[in-house]
Amino acid sequence: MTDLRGDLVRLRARHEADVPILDTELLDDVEVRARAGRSPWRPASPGSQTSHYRVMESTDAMAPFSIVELATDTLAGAVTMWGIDAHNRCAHIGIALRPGFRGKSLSTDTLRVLCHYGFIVLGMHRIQLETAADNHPMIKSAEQAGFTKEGVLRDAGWILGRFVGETVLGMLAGEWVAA
Amino acid sequence: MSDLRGDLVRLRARHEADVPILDTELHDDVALHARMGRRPWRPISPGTEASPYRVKEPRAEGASFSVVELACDTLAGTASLWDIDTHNRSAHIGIALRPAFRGKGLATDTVRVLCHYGFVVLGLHRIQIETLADNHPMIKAAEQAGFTKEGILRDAGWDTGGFVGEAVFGILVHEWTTA
Repeated sequence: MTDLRGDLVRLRARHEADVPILDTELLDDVEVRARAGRSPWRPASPGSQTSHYRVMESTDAMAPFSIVELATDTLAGAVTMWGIDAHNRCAHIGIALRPGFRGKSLSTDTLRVLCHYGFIVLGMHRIQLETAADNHPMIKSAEQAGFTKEGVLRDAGWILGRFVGETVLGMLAGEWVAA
Repeated sequence: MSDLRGDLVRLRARHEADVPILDTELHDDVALHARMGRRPWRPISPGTEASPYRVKEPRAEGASFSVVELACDTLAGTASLWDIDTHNRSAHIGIALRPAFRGKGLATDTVRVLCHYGFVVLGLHRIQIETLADNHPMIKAAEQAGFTKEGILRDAGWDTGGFVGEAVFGILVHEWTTA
């Protein structure tokens, strides 16, 4: 079986055992969550069906994955291809690593694997990534994976007391093949 | 009663009598429709619920208006504030004018009235316009209304036979106040 595997990580479906770990480390942290999403942080009880990280079926519009670090065979985070648009052949990426797995280049590798999924498996033409304009690690990872910065939507997100710009990065299928 | 009125147009709710006119002049033109929306053109029978211009109940996330030209008191097109996000205090503008009402400065005036609605009535912080990168009349209207070009999402839309970039424009509330 070939799976979705890079140099450092592999992507697999969400397992029930992942959910409490992702909820605790990514959802319960008000600051992390405020920076990761567009909706305000709300308290969610364990096992809540509103959890962003609950086990859910993939749809034509969205494919949620868990990230596993190859070196330790341990859950490292979550990544989703969302807004999959079969007409315009484009999709968006959202990625969140557990605190203990940051700073190890896993996000660049994760982006590469997800681009393989988007361009090769799904047949997308364009993949896009949005992040807070001051999220320098994410921007650096995206650029290392081959994304181009296309603009900054000024003051587009409310993050804990102030408006922050949103940087948009994109990659086209032709750039991916050439990479 | 003070209504939503500019120098050339006023905005009001959609009336049933508007629907067949907008369906015929804006939806039924395949090439025009492809440039306006993100979804492929599909045939719509008269009077069906599938019309993008049907009369809808007011919703928190979107506000649909009909544009009326003041000089002739005639339906000139459609305008909407969509994806209204009360947490990030942002929304998007969509405009389509009937063919005979283009080139008269109505789009700029309509954008200004929508900004008044968004900033003053709704209390938004940011309003965004997306349009195809080669849609020069819409780009001109956005810039004349005070919007700043923030980026181009390369190849983001499929427009009858080819991928076209999408230009993103934004205006912030303090830019509007000083306009």
